[in-house]
Amino acid sequence: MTGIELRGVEKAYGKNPPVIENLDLQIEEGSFTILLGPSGCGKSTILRMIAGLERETAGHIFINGEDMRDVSPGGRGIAMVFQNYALYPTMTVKENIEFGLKNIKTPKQEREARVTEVVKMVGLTNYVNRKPQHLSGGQRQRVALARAIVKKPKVFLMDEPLSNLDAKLRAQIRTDLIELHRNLGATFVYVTHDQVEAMSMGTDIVLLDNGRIRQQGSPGSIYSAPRNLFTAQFIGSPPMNVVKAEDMEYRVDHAPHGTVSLGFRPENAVIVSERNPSERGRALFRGELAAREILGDHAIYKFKTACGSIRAKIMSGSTVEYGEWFVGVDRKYLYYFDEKGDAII
Amino acid sequence: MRDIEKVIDEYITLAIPMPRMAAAEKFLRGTARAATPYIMVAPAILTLCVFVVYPIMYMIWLSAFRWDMIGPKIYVGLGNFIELFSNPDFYLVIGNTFKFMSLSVSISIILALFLAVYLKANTRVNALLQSFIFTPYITSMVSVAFIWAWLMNSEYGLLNFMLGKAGVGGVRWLEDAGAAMYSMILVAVWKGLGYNVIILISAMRAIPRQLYEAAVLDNTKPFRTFFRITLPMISPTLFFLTLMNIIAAFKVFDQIALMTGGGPINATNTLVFDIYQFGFKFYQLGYASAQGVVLMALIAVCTAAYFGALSKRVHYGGEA
Amino acid sequence: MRARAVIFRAAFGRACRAAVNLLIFAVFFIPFYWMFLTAIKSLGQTLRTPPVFWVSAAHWENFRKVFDAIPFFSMLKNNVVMTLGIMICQFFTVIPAAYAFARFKFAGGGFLFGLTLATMMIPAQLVFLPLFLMFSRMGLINSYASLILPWATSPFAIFMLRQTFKQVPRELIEAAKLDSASEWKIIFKLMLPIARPTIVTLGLVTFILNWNDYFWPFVLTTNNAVRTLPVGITSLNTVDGGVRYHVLMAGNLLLVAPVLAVFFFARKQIIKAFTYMGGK
Repeated sequence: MTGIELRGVEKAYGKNPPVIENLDLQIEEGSFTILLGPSGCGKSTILRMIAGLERETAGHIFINGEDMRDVSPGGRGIAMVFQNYALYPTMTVKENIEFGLKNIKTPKQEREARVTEVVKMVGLTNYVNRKPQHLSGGQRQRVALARAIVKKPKVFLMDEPLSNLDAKLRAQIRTDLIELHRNLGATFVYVTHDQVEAMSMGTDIVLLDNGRIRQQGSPGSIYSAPRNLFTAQFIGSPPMNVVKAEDMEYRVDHAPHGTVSLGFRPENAVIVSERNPSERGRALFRGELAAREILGDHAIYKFKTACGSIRAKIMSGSTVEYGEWFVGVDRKYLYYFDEKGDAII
Repeated sequence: MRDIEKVIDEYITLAIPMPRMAAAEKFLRGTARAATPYIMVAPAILTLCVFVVYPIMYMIWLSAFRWDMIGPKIYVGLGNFIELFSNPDFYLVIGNTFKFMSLSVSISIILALFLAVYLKANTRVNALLQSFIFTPYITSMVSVAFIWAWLMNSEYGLLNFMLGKAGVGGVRWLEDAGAAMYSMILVAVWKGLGYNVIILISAMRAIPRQLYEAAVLDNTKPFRTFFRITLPMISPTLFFLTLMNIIAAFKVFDQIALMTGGGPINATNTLVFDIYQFGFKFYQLGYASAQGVVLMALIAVCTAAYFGALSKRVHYGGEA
Repeated sequence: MRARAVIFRAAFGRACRAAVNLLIFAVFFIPFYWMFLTAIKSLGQTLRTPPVFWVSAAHWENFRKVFDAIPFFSMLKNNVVMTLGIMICQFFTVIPAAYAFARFKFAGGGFLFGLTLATMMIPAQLVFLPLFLMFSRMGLINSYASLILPWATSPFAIFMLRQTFKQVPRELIEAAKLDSASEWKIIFKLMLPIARPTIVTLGLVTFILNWNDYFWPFVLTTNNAVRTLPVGITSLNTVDGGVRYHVLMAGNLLLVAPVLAVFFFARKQIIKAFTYMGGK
């Protein structure tokens, strides 16, 4: 088994009930795996256990098939990028980057060569002798990355590394990270609560809630085949519309047995002015337009209907005026969920 | 085949007594790790035990004896305390101590508040004045005492000369039993004021500017702004500063010893000076120790009152 | 009319401020000026009424009289030994203790830290009597040991430094661990450099307070062997009998000059240091 494997892992703090219980997780070697979930779902704890910064209370963690139970954080062949970067404030950029190499007694020549290469790679050549407090947020972020890269680890762990940056920089570094992952060929494990980051960078997404894995898969499968309501409503922007079947004004007659709620993505909705009874196989909602956001290439409309708010994302075309409208969804875009919230396929 | 080899490998690893050695090593390393914090705090804790905790215990023990340092110690139980509390001179000393403490602390704090508001703005002139006010604080009390003894000299002193120019008769600053204590308070305030000023200024500068901007938008009068915004915001600092000032005032010794020697006729005799007199001049070590216990109690009460009030504030006022 | 009133009020305000500034300056500067002036006056000039406010020819022999009256340089040496001794001892007791209290959880740690805090409020003036008896029993009166050892640690410094160590973000230490740094390396390469400003501040304050200290060397010495300058200067009070303020002020000037010189050049740092100490 290569990559990272968690087997029956449990984590409890003190005598409190465990935050993570009997967790099994496989992270493929060379993947860009995203641990995604709302705050408090345990994603950071999992990352920190892989790093060895926190000890699992039960179970085993394997990296490249090796049990990590008694291996120190420094000996796991990993590197980590922290949310606040955790740069050593009293060291220069160069000293920050080479600190780890010095600690494992890398020969000076090799050290110099590696530091120079990495500094060039992240574009900080002119800043090597600066202290972190004299760098901008983006530069600090790149120092943190360089400090990880220089160790040539098999595994990169990243704990929300972009959350302290402004939106523009975030988008740019997302692309940089994808490139970096492709160039290095290492395993990336990346924690975030931002589904945009997850979808854009990940090759594999692990969606977590309350310490449990709700779904794991490629961004495409997570988006197009959510296995439960949690996944359906966490992924997508705006999230999937979910309505109770019994509240619907116009019933859908082809719903599978056991359906309690129906879902559809805002981008699959269409707005029509009249109800056309001949259109079978289309879910239809009558609603009052309550708010509209015109966003240039697309617009988001929020309708008040008998079964709650419904959003529609329309890619282009003329602006819809305030008033009463019908929202329709094609049958093929409908998702059905049972009373436990699991998808009916 | 491979699997069998692996199993055998594992078996051998388990069979040889390696794990035991590892366990012993683990135990040793664990012990070393567990001992580390104790080794690190040991020098400090031992020093404190030998030079603070033990002397305090010794002092309390000694307060139950009559001893002149040469002869044998005679156990008198609470005798020293009974003697202490039936001695009118002791009440005079306690009275002096409290007079010195209450007046010097209140004057110093109030003056410091005024000066802090006055010098709050970060300008060069203010920084300079702040330095001047602070200079006596970092000057040895020996120098301060002699400078003021010279200024207060009743015949040749500068102060009486200036009073004369202003048409006021000379004051016998240090020789008059009625004036000497106020002279002591004056010197104490002059020396300690700078510290209070810089602490209060830094506390005031830490108040968010938006609070003052909001006050201006609400047309608040400066006077009200001070009492409604500045004072409440700096109150934790003010509170702590007052405690520090009180304890410092209780232990006043240098200026008394150097300027008045407790006189005239005991007018400036305060607790620590009296302890020194009884211990080192009259060799009544038990009696002096009993006084020491009283001083300790005073400091303990003030400190306890401070922390008591602090916890109450935390309790009722949400976050402190 | 209105504009003129405003201008008048501003001018009046400026004048008031100038007057108050002058008053503050006078109250805190004149005593020092008077010390300096007296130190270079002749005996006759010190006793004149009205006082002499300026002397054209300085009487430098006052300083020679100081050196004749007291073993000035041996006392200066004692001052240096005592102050540096205390600082060096504190360096080795305070830093490890503060680090252990900040970073390790150990049985009894809370109690020991509580003990440290409790001793913070106990002044020298409370323990001098029993300590004098203790040192005299060991024959250590008039020794450097009795001047230095009682102050070999500082609960206040331990408290302040512990706060500094505690404020270091957990992630920094974790990052160092991931960088294969040993506990040793974490202390010396990471934590101590971060705590350097605090350590310098504590050192500065310790230096000034102990350099000036009168009480302790006064009660713990009975002869000039280890007496420090603040104690030594006081014996100038009785040179030749009678009022000899010119010699006394000359000695005084020698005592305060180094501290004032340091203060003059490092005003900002010193004020900041003391502010930091009271900022809790």
